[in-house]
Amino acid sequence: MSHRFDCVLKFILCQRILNKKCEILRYSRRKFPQILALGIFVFISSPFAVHALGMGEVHSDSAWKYVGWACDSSAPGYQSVIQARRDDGVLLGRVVAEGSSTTTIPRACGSPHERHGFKLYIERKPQWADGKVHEVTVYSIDQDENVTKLKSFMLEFSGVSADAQRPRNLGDVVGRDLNYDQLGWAGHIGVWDGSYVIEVLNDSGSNKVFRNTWDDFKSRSNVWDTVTPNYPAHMIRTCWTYECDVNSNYSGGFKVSPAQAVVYRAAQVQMIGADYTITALFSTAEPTMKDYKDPGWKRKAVRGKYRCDTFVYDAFRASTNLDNSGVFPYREVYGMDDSWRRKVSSLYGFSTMLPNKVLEKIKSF
Amino acid sequence: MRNKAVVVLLALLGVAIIFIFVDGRNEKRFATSFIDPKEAESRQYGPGALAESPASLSRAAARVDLLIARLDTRYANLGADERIQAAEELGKEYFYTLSDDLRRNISDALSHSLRLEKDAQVARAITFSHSRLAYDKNTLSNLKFSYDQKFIHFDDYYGELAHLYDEAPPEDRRNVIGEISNGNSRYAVDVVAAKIAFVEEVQLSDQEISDLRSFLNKNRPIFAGAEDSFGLFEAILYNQWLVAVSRLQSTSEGGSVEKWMGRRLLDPSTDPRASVAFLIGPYAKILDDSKKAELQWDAVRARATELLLRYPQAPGLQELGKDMAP
Repeated sequence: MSHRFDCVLKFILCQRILNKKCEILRYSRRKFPQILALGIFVFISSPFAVHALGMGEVHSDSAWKYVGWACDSSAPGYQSVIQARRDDGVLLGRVVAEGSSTTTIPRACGSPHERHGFKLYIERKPQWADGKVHEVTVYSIDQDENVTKLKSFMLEFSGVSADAQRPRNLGDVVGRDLNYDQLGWAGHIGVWDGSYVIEVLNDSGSNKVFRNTWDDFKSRSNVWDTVTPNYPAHMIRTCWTYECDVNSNYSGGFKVSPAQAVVYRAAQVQMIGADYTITALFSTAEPTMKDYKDPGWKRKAVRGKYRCDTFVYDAFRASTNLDNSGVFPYREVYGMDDSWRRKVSSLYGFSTMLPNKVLEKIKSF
Repeated sequence: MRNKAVVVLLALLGVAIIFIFVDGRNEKRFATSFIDPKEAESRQYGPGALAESPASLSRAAARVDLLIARLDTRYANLGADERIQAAEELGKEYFYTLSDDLRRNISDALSHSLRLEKDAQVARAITFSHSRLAYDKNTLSNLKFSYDQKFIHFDDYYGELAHLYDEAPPEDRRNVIGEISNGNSRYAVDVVAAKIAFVEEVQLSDQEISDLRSFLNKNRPIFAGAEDSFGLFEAILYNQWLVAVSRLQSTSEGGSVEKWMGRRLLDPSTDPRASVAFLIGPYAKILDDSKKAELQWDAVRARATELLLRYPQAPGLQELGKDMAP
């Protein structure tokens, strides 16, 4: 028995301690009953143990931003929820760790992919900027709501100034300099959904429609004055989801306001999927289309291809009945002034279109 | 005689101007929608008018052959952009025909080109062009090949599986759903939820429903930011997820969809923003009184209202909250 135990332990423990004295082996032999009891206890209790197997790294040099990665070795592909909490109990923010990260992560937790990165921007609320140093703890939360502490920081909450450009209304259009040398003037634009900037970026990732916080948007380059379009009061009824019907009299779909239509369309494009193109020649993301009169017929969703400004144009177009034909869900408008249709139509011009020009035109809406 | 000539000339000029004007308008319309005029013409007819004459089928076959040749680097020395365009056009041609032979030809050609393609961007375009065709014997192997070759990435792969799982035959579907479930892609969550929330009937086996329920439950959408942050995009995603997961639960455990929605919304661990998201969504606006009772409408509304009162200075929450169903 003792010899057999020696052999097993030698194999497990001494394999990697090549040419070194295996002190632990002698110790283990002496303490065999205790080790056996501990092993049995761990074995029996493991099914009831809490699977807090989150891991990750986080860095911060400011109270308002936390960057890192996180994953969960009990569900390696799962994209954890990240949460930052301050020592006075304030929940500063949450985000999903689904951004790009380095390739060391899959090795760390066995994940088959590297989309475990996160950038948690904290909204610069004046009431949180008390000028004091606080302890901020960043946690990752797994599929079963188990919480793992990633790291704590001692950081001063200060540096909040008036932010005149911050968007406030659903459907606001935001802009900033383009991140290309000598081409900043051409600009980059997106739409505000009440909490996020929805924008098309040529960033890493599968889908080029992104949701980013205002502080993230602002951190990339010099921001422009936010435009609040004077949305009219009409309503639009159509299918806003992934699968629609070609018949204009189909009972599916629901009514939304023009500002809501812009965001509903942006969400529809994201669900269908979109790629990036540098030219103004875009292709429209089209939902899966069926025909209730002909149940055997189906045209699957077609991915779109956009630049930031053509994406904004497409989203605005959804607030009208422009291009209301083809194998695309029919948009019924109720009480729309034709001037709105003309204004939205004027945003597009293949040879002259640029983000800064689109924003300028929307200013006059 | 001279007057007649002038009149004829003026008439011709008028006709020419009209043609130019009409053409110009058409061009603008097509340019605006970015649909090729010929393509737009065929799309106007819709699915009901796709019955093909031998002549139109022959023209379609010729177009497909040309596109296949453009995609093939052995025969055509074209750049990546042109090959990407050819792959996308082949995907469109597929749905303009009802001919099984032509469709098979397109599917096989795309699959063949994918194996030969060296440019990652072109291979990616070919992959998407093929994965958005009707499900066939090449579908899964193409996606797996592209994922293994890193032509497409994590969300691409699981997202495409989510886009197509309901078309797969039963012998493949269970594995596809199992793979989606194990993949944990949040983009796949959005696609699966959208499909289940809005289809008329969930037609899946018990095991498949169980797998998808587990997948949706373990990858719940969150409301990001601070406790008072609220945007329409997240509300849309949460809404469709809520309907989808409640429909699956209703199908497997019985009870109405509304009952399960209400229970989830009123669970103390559920973010109260979920109640606001639900009440501004389309589902809340079509419920009759009996369904509202099953959902515990008043309690859900009270939870949402309490949140709005707690954060009167939160612009997104306050603006969108005005649209809550009464």
